[in-house]
Amino acid sequence: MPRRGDGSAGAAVGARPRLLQIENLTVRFGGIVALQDVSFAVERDRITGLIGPNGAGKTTLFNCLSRLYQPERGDIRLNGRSLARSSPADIAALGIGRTFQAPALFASMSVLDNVKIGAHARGQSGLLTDAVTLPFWRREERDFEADARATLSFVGLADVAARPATSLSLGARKRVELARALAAKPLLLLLDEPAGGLNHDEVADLGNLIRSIRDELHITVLLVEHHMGLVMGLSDQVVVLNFGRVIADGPPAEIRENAAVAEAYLGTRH
Amino acid sequence: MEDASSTSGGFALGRDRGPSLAVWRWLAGGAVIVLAAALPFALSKYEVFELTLVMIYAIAVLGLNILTGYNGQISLGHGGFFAAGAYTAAILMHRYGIPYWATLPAAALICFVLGVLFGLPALRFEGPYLALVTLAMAVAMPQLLKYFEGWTGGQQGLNLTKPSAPAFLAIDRDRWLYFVVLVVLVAAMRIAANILNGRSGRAFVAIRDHPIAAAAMGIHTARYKTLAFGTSTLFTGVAGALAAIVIGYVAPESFGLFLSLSFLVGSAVGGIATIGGAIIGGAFIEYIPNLANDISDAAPWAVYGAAMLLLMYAMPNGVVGTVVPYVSRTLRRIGPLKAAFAGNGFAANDED
Ligand SMILES: Nc1ncnc2c1ncn2[C@@H]1O[C@H](COP(=O)(O)OP(=O)(O)O)[C@@H](O)[C@H]1O
Ligand SMILES: [Mg+2]
Repeated sequence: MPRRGDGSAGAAVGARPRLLQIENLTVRFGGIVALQDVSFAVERDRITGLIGPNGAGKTTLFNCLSRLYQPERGDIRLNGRSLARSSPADIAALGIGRTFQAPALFASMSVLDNVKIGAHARGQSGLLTDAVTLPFWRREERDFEADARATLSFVGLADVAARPATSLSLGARKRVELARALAAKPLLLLLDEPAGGLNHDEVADLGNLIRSIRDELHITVLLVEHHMGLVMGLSDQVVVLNFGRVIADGPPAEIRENAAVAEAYLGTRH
Repeated sequence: MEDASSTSGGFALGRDRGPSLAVWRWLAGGAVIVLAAALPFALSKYEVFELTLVMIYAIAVLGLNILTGYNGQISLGHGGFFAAGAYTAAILMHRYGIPYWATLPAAALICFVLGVLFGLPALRFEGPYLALVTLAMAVAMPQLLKYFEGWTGGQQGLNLTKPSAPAFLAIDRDRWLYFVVLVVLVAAMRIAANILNGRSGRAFVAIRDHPIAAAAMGIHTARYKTLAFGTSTLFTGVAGALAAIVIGYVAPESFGLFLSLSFLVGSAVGGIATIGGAIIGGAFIEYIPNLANDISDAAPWAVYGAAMLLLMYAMPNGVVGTVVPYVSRTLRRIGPLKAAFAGNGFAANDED
């Protein structure tokens, strides 16, 4: 898949250009503070791990990035441009793709159509052009189809393109979601616990797949994952959330040694 | 709606299932059209008229299927849009002397706009609440039609001159109108299949299946739900215009709540998320009430109800929505079997 245009307008503070900046993000649900003053940056062409115990606010952060939740305070910038005025449906076109913690496939559709939907934001064709021309005569539809098949091959699902999405195993369904997100050719890919429910071999395959998303497709990845081996092995940088606050942010080796992180995970004070 | 084929429906092309199957579908479609073109010459005038109504109801049900089946928005008010199309044709023909064929694009446009206007406030409602809002449309329509007497002819309605065939065709009016409606039906099914297999149709279905994931894919859900409403009422409105032309008469009483309910019944019986099922639905709407009358003139609606229950019990996804997936499942089962003998199974399939 060709690389999407890189609008490297973002402020290049530090060693590498920052694709995404989270600034003082605060989200409350009634009495619960899900995110408290969260700030960190995601560097371009890297894999950033986002970890933290259950309920730490990881999915909430993704939902802010998808504009499904409206933060009480703070801002999110992609390439320096604030997302505050964007609607959830604008986000894909701006270059953010995602998968969901619980698989959220379009249940009645084939695997191929699920992936084609991923390309929706790149499309132009409207109701009238859809109505009057046959789909296989139309360039865009042919391109979508070719892209969707190429993306399915990339995630190793070329054989099941015609199958109903719901007939696949959990591992395969998660890869369909991944392919669907990739079909949009995003700049930034948000993965919410992609290894959840996978067996040992599947986790290893997933690791290789995420690495090739960064290295071959040049897509920046923000990875939420509980599987420590996977996150630590893959990530260039790791951000740790606990009770809605960032408690650590650095390279994996540093995070492993971090006392606050160990404490958050073990729940004990030293 | 468990099967992937429900998105493409009975009429649509199954490109995923290989080119040979697509060719067969085209051939089968062609054969049906040839048969449909020959049929009126083997039937009585009245039987031809009945078949014409079947096709008209099929177009109306197709409209409802796009909204309810593919986009997941329920409507109990499509009789109202059918009426709007019928009165558009009737008023244009009766008051302005516009030729009958020219009323079809007018009805399409007006009913599209009406549908969009109705679809905008409908965005606030879902499920049973949306059903109630659209129900209001259905119950209000006959009285509204009576109220605007100056346009609609009030209680008496409007009488129209039934159009006849062009002079060079030596066929009677009923057979001519049969062909007019057949052409519109085939075009409507083709257009519906194009939309549903295209970017817009995929967006309709995505919104029905998972609205949050649909938005995350960049689908502006409000825009597409409104468009689905307009597309749906466009089809149903054109059907209404055809009904006015073919019957040669419109009156408020023809467009009551029961008509709206009939469309929903026809939709469910044929297969709510199918294209071909609309024809089964049209046939059910046209024939079953009369048939029920023949079976028992004391309790025809009991017979109607029983027929409906029996069909839904035997085919819960409607006739086409049950038969087509069954056939493609069977074909798939044969597929992997062959593949297994050739030594390559489906690796990604753990549960089915
Ligand atoms: N829509 C919501 N309504 C109310 N509370 C929510 C909602 N979403 C998340 N929360 C709460 O916010 C906190 C963070 O949740 P979440 O972001 O899902 O955590 P994580 O993904 O890190 O496990 C939890 O206490 C959760 O109960
Ligand atoms: Mg979570």
